[in-house]
Order: sequence, then structure tokens, then C-alpha cells
Amino acid sequence: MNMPDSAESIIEIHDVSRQFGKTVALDHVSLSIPRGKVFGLIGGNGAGKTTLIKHILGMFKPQTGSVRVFGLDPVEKPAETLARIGYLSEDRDLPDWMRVTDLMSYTQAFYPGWDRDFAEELRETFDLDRNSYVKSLSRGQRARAGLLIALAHRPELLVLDEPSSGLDPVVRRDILGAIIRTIAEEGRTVLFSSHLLDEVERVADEVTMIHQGRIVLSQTMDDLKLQHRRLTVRFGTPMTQAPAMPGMLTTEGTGTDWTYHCSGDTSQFAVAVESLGATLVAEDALSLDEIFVARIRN
Amino acid sequence: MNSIPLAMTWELIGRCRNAVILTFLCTNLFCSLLMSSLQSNGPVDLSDPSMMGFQLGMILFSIFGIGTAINSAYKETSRVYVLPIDTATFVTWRMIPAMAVMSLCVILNALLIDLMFGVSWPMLWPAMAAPVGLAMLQAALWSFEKTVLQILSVLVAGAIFGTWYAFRFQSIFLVQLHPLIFLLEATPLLLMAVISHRFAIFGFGRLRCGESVLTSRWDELLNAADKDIAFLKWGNSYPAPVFQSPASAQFWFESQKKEWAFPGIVIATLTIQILAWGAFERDLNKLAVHMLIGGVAVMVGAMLSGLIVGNFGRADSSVEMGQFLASRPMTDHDMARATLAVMVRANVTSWGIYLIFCVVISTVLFAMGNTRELLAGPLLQWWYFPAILLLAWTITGVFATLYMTGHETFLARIICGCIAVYLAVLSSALLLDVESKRQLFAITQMATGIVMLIVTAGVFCVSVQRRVVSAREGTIAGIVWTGLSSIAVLEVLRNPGGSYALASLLVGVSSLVLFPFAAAPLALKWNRHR
Repeated sequence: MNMPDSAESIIEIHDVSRQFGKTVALDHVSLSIPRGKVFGLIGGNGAGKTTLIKHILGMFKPQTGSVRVFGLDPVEKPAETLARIGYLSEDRDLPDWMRVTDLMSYTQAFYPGWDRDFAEELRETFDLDRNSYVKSLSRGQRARAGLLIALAHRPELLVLDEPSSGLDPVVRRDILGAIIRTIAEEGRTVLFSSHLLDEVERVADEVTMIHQGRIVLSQTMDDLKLQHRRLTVRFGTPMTQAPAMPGMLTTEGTGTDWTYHCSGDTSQFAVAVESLGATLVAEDALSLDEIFVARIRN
Repeated sequence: MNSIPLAMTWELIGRCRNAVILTFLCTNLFCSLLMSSLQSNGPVDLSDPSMMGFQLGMILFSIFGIGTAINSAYKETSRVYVLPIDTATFVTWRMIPAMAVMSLCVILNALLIDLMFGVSWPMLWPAMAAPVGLAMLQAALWSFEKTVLQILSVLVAGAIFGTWYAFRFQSIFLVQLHPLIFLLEATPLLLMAVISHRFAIFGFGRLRCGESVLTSRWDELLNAADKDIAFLKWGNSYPAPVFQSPASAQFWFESQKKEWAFPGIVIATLTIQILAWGAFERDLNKLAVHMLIGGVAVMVGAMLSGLIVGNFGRADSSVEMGQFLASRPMTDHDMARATLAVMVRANVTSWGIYLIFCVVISTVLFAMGNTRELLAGPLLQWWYFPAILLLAWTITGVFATLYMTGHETFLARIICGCIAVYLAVLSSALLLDVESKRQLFAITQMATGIVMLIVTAGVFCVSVQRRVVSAREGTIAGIVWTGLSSIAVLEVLRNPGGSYALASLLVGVSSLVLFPFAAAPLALKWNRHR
């Protein structure tokens, strides 16, 4: 696993476990999130993404291990850590009884760095009526209101839990993507979880894949692309099952032509192909979606 | 499961089982507490007509409690719109099992009270009437769901049922009815159930296909009224609040959401009380008693308000702190302090309302020369109004703190534990003679006081240790407790009827006055950082 230098880390998670009854939500997770990067957290439903995020925000106390955000314990120092974090929750939990303008004023009080002009600009971009009650907002508008209050104080760390959920494709692609990139370019950090992998692929610098409470992969996006390849092999005779190869994750195909999804150095794979008398007919990069499926199936 | 009725009954039982059992136990405990306090003043004449009012009140209380438990378990009806069943079947099989549960609870309640206190209250008729009351409330709730008229419709349905029930109950309670007349009594009940059922089908059917029970014209009128009120309040532009600090913002948040509850409940109960007095009694001598009952209403309001103030959940049905509040950048201590400040203000306002109520009635009584009851009761004792304020604060604080923990299992254990201890003491008392019973009562009072004191002291120690309360605040709390306890003990022992047991209890209660200051930040911490 390619772990970044901890000296530059904004979040340090060490050996964190969490159990709900008999269900293991996090199983000895260790993770380090570098400053100034866009960090994507991917995984299926119930993989443990939100549980991990809740530990980072201090909403869950680790049953084992430790969590440090900006070098502080978020459970012991909630005011100090949360003041530097912008957070959009998965369930879009906002007070229904407030108007949008109340929500902005209320949130502003907690953040000395609240940028009024930026907040107003975001409100207009998101097409939110200041006098509307939160309860009257549609699911998408609710997500935008949540995003507004998470962004307007220009946080050092932006944590977005499934930010795309409820946003229409235009907002998702143009606005969210642009915001995430802008924040990263300003030297701030973004941690976002998603199961829309094309979106993660488009904006993330680093990716961590979580499955059944365990981290199965954590790499930079470039390394990930480089180390996961699709290799198509043609065998001399038809096969009922693809022979095992070095670095193989999954296979598909019939007869003589088989496609391997592999990780790691492909030179050993090439040697193995040659030794079997087969031919490597194509090699290309896997999309994040394919990597995810291959890893989970494997 | 191969039938709709079976599946829907199974769903009802699965969803509301715990809430109904807990509510049943609580209503039963409340009823037993009142019965035992009545009996502690001497033998109760069970044939006294005032007992009829007592049973009537208890049954209505039980209907309200169990009905709330059943309906809150169902939550919104919209999630079942897509089920492949027609509206009539749906409404029928949602109503019938709930009515059966209600009936069963009323019978069990009457049996338990009968077993403990030897009363022979009528059982069959309340068991028939209570489910009809529930059906009426359900029809009102479902038909006006998501409209501004929902609360009003429930109040109207409740008022119709309550009035009719109170009116007929007198005949049932006082006269042994012939079976044929009894059957006749059942006819209007059946009629009310059928009307409720038809109304619920009509309302639910319209909601299911996206139409409000209210016509679009009504909707327009209500929206226009809403806008007019907003215009009258703020003109064309709504002024956004401005906050100087996170603490002031949090205080505003808590106050907007929760501060109305206590004064609202007190105003409502005192108004109902005066209206009831005007409608049924009109006896000036009884007004002093109504002032004392008003004090009890303040305590009940304090309890309900505690449940509202202490709820940090996203919805009324959830007590777990929502992510929005949990991610506010402020310490647990500051967040708890904002809630405590709102509680203080709500208590003082409610107490002020009660004080004004008493002053107005006392003035009327003095003006009319009817001061006998007023002078005989505790109302003119120096300690009465301060004690009401402190007790109301204590009740709000304790209930709010329990709710603030946000752990449902913990809450259920506390409630069940209290019920178990109470029932144990009560059942032991049933086996004892008068003198032993008096001793047991005294020991229970002393033990309760000591437990309260130990729990409060323990909570303060933990809070200071975890630095959610400073050592200075802890010392101030100690000084205040010493002062309050001394006053309470001196006042009790000065009184000829006072006892050491009561003094011990009051020492414990005095400590509970301070309990929320240490317990609230701890409870909030436990809820926020799970």
C-alpha cells in the first residue's frame, strides 16, 4: 500500500475498529490523508465509508485505535477540529424549521472565516430562495443548501459524504467538480465518499477502497491506473477455464480468447503468457469502476 | 405469511410492541401512584362519585398514551402508498389490529388496578369505547396528514369522543345496566367506528393519489393567510437573525425549537381547567383547589417539556443526535449550556404564567370573600411558589438530561427499573399492616433521598474529572445544595407533621435541582460522540 508521508497528513487514523452488535463496521483501519489533495473514499453500500467519516468528525468514538484530525482528537476537541471542517452529511440533515437565510446566519456564527460574498454567490449559483423554509426544499435543493453551508467558511478540510446523491447531472458534473478542484488548488483538502466511481475518477488525486470494514486498496489515482491493467490473451487451444496468472484479479472470456484484470507489475504476466504458448493481444488501463469490481470479486 | 391482514397485524406488533409495552407500564404506574397517594390519606370510598372522574381521567390518559405509541410507531403513511392493496383493505387492517391492542391494554390496565387496589371498575364498556376513540383519532390523523389542519382535526375528534365518553360514562359507572341497554350503548360506538372508518378511507384515498383532503381553494386560502401573517410580522423582507457568538446562535436554535413547549402546555392546561370549572362546577370555593391542580399541571408540563427539550434527534421519534447538530463546532459543555439556558427561561416563563393565574384567582376570591379554602391550603405559605419553580426545574432537568443521552436502550432500562422498584415496594406494602406500611413508606422516602444524593454527587465528580464542569462550578453547586437542603430540612422539622424521612427525601431532591448542570454536558457528550 502506498501511504503518504505522515508529516503532511491532515488526518491520521490508526488501527480503528468499530462494531455495531455483531456487525463489524470497521476492522482495524489505518489511513493517512495528505494535506492539499482530493481524497476519494469508495466502497459499496454498508462498506463502512460513513462510519469512517463519522470517526473523523468525532461522532463516533473509536472502540480501538485512534483518530487525529489536524493533530487533535475530534472527540476531545470538537470545537477546535470541526471549526476547520466543512461537512455535507449523507442524509442531508438540516433543520427543517429554518429558512435558508436563518440557516446561513446561524451557521455563520460558528465560523469566523465565513465569507459572506462567497455564501451569497453560492446561494445564487445554487438557485436557493433565501426566504424558503428548508422543509420546502426538494432533495436536490437540500443537498445544495448543505453544500453551501459546508463551503462558505472556506474550510481547511471539506468532508463530503455521498455529495452527488440528489444532485442533478449538471450540478454534479459542473459545479461540484469545479468546487472540489478549486478547493484543492487553494491548497485545501477534500475527502469525499461516493459510489459513483466515474466522478471519483474525474476529481480524486488519491483513492481508498473500503470493503466490509477493511481497506482493500489505498493509492494515488495515477498509480492505481498504472498498476491495474486489462490484458487480453489468446491461447492456442480453447479453454474451459482461464489458467491462473501472476497478479490476476478476475477473468472473463470463452474458448481461446480470455481477458484478465490484473494488478501489479505486468512483466511477470507476460513471461507466464509466453511460457503457456499463448499470445498477449491487447493491454490497456482499467477504469476505476472496473478496478472496483475486480477487487471486490477477488 | 400469505394474507394481508396477517402481514399488517404482524407489522403493527413488530413496530409498536416496545412502545406500547412501555407506555402501558408508564400509564399503569401513573395510575397506581395516584391510587396509592389517595390511599395513603386513609381508606378510599370506591363508590364515591369522584372515583368515577378518576377512572374516567385514567382511561382517557391511557387512550392518549397507547394511541400515541401506536401511531408514532407507524410514522408516515406515504411509504405504504405503493402496496398492492386497495385503500379500504389497508385502512381496515390498520385500524382493526390497533383497536384490538388498545382494547387489550384497557382490560389489562383495569385488571392490574383491580388486583392491586381491589377496585371493581367497569371494564367491558371502556374496553369497547377506547378502541373507537383510537379509530376516530386515526381517521383524523390520516385524513389530514401533511396539512395545517391535522392538529385541529385531532383535537376536534378528541373533543367529540371525550365529551361523549364523559357524558355516557356516568350512567355506566353508577348504574348496573341491563344487558339489552348495554347493547344499545354499544350502537353509537359502532356507528362512530364506522363513520371513522369511512372518513379514513375517504381521506387516505385522496392522499394516496396525491390530492389533499382540503380542496385547492382551501390550500390557496391557507397559503394566502400564511403569507399575510408573514407580511404583517416582517413586511416584504424577512430579517435574518444576527448572532454575536456561537453560544448565542445555539441558544437561538434551541429556543426557537423548544422554548415554546413548557409555557404552551401550562397555558393550555390552565385554560382547559378554567373552562371546565366554568362549564361544570361554577363553585368559587373550588377555585383554590384548581390553583393547586394548576401546580400539578405545571409539573406535568415540566415533564413533557423535559422530553422535548432533551430531544436532540432529527425527528421526534429518534433521540439520537442528528449529524447537523453533532457537527457544530462547539464544545459539548457550551451546547449543553445553551439548552440549560433555554430550560431556565422556559421554566421561569411557565412559572410566571402560573403565578399570574394564581394571583388573578386569589384576587377574585378575596374580592368575593371566598377565602376559606385558600387560607387552609399551602398556597399562601412562603415556600409554595419557590418550591413549584424548583420542582418544575428539577423535573424538566432530569427528564431532559435522560433524553439528552440519546440511547433508547438506556432510557428503556431506566424507566423499567423505576417501574420495577415501584411495583416491588407497592406489592410489599399490600402484604403489610398499617404500622409496617408507614415504616416502609418512611424507609422508601429515606432511601430515595440518599440514592438521589449519591447519584448527583457521583455525576458531579465524573463531570469535574472529565472537565465538562469546572471545580469552581462544582464548589458553587455544593454551596447551593447546602443552602437549599438546610432550608428544606428546617422547614420540614419546624412543621409538626414533618419527619426525618421526608427531610431526607428533600435533601435528595435539593441535590437533583443541581443535577442537570453536571449531567447535561455528560449526557450530551455520550449522545454526540457514540
